[in-house]
Amino acid sequence: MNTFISQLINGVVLGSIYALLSLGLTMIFGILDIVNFAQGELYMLGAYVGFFLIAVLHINFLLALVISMIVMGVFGILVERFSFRPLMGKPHTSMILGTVGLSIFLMNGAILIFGAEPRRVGTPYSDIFVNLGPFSLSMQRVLVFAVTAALIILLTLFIQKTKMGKAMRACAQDLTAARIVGIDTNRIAMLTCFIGSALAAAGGVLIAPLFLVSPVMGLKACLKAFVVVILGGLGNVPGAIVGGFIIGIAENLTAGFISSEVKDLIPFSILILILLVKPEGLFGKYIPEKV
Amino acid sequence: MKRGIIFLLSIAFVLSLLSFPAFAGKGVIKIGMIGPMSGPCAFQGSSMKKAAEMAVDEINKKGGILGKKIKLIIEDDESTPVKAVNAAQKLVTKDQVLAVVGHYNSSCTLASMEVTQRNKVPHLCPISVAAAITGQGYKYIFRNCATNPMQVGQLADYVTQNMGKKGKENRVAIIYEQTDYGKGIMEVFKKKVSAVPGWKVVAIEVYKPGDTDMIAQLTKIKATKPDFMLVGGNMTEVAQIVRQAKEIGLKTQLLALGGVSTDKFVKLAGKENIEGMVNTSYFETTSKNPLAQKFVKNYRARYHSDPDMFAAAIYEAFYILDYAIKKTGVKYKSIKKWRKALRDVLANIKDLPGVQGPTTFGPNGQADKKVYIVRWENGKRVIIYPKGS
Repeated sequence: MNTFISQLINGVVLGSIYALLSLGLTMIFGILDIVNFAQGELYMLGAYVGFFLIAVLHINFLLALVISMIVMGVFGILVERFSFRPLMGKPHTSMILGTVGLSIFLMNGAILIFGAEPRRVGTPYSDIFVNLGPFSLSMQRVLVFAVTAALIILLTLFIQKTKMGKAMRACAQDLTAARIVGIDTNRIAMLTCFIGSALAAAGGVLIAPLFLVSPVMGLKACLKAFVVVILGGLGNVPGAIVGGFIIGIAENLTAGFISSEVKDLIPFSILILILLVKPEGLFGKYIPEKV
Repeated sequence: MKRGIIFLLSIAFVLSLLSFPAFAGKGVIKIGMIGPMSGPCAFQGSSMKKAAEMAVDEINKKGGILGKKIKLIIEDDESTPVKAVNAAQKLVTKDQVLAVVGHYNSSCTLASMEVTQRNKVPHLCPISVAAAITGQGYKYIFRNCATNPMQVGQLADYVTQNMGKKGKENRVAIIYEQTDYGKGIMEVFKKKVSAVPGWKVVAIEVYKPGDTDMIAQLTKIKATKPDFMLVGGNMTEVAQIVRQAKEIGLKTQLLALGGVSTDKFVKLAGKENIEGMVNTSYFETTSKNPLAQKFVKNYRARYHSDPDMFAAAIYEAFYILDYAIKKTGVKYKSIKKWRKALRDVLANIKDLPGVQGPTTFGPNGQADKKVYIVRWENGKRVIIYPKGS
């Protein structure tokens, strides 16, 4: 029972990161209709910005988190302006090649600038331990979950309660109709990329002290984020959150009670199952392709 | 006109293929070294290059071997077997080297030793540890370092003989990388430890190279209450595992293998997380072996940094060649006969001192090497076996 609860806690922490990464991915798809294969690289760059602020400039961790989110948010706007906007409305193949190219460019750029070897970020939170009876977990892990929860609540409030959020929802429903009623869709696209990129950066900075920071860290993470997004439904925000936690918990329970050899098998089995049984995802609605 | 140029070029090309390469016996002895000068293992490759250049300069300064200077030819394999084979092919046919030293990656050595064996060129393998390299009965391959099963076996022997609690059950957990390398470590360690009375393997877990989150596996291991945990993998993942073990409060005696015996490991893992950890090591700069001390001193003077185990292994290989070539004498008119004679001398080497300890090649070309066992104390490695070295 104790092991079960520990594995559950581990799953929730890991799921938080998956949720953060998938949120950006699903929002960009929902509004720009672009599958962003470079989402993992935004997460990696966010971690490097965090590393620089924490390990080199010795800035407080939470402040570094906020700065990194803003820096990467602005970077997201640049990506939208120079990479996504020219791709919008183009055939799906050009769109995929475009973002895959961006991913390769950013990863190799990072290898060139930061070097291929991994780096370690230390924060005071990784040395504080929280003891909950038989379980021990570092403050950093608690922080991962707490910050993720806070960001999800803020994002939901923003989307549901503000005028901008309403405009975003309108764009997600129908971009042309949104333009007809006078919404500046370019601004909404920029805003979406700002948020998507900032959330990925938050994931990167939160995870940096737990794992190591390296230029290739985005690859595996992005793959998992795709599983999450398909599980939750493409373009569906609550779906990405629930999907993230499902995959995180499923992975940890598999490793804990079946075998660590099949740990990575489970998320992808879920992916195949969903594609076969409910291709629109758990929360998605079936929309026929517009002709 | 254009056809005329193409015709001339083709003739030039054919002639260049026919032209006989200059025989090495005219004043210089050519020795080839292949390693990852670029690519993912370029860092280790640069250590190999530094050590090779240092050894060759030293030998040449003393007048060379048999009155001939050594000419070192370095080739890049980029850690890929295809490039390794091409490089070996170039060295043995175009450059006509007397011997080849090389490769960092076992996969590269396994590929290029086909070329050296076919062309009957002595091939020294100082770094690659895959057991199969000297396990196939090839006559021209010689390895002057312990194989993976050898180092795991020596670690298991040391741990079971010196670190166990007498009269109590000693519980061992193993977490290993899901590759041939990691699997080999797990199998040998499990077999050795299980055979000792009072010792029991209670948990075996795996992870994949590049994994970052091993908390699930470690939580499972923690539930089995192990006294020892062997981490069988490469430096980056081992660093994550020891940190995460600390994080979930898993308190055991940590054990690991040679790959972590570098100063970089302390930076990645954090010195407080590896205090007391015991691992094998192929080379330590604090070794009391006089040859090693001299090597460390000269290396520091030349490169202003400490040599690592790869540098030591390459340096030793060049001195093994120095000794063996001297013994072959100068009477060989053809490079083929000279290579054969060199192979025969190498095969009979016994207790030749070197920076990593004495070398004796067995019937498969495998040297019977001992590894060090070290313990981490305050971010530094202290040799605990063999005693007094």
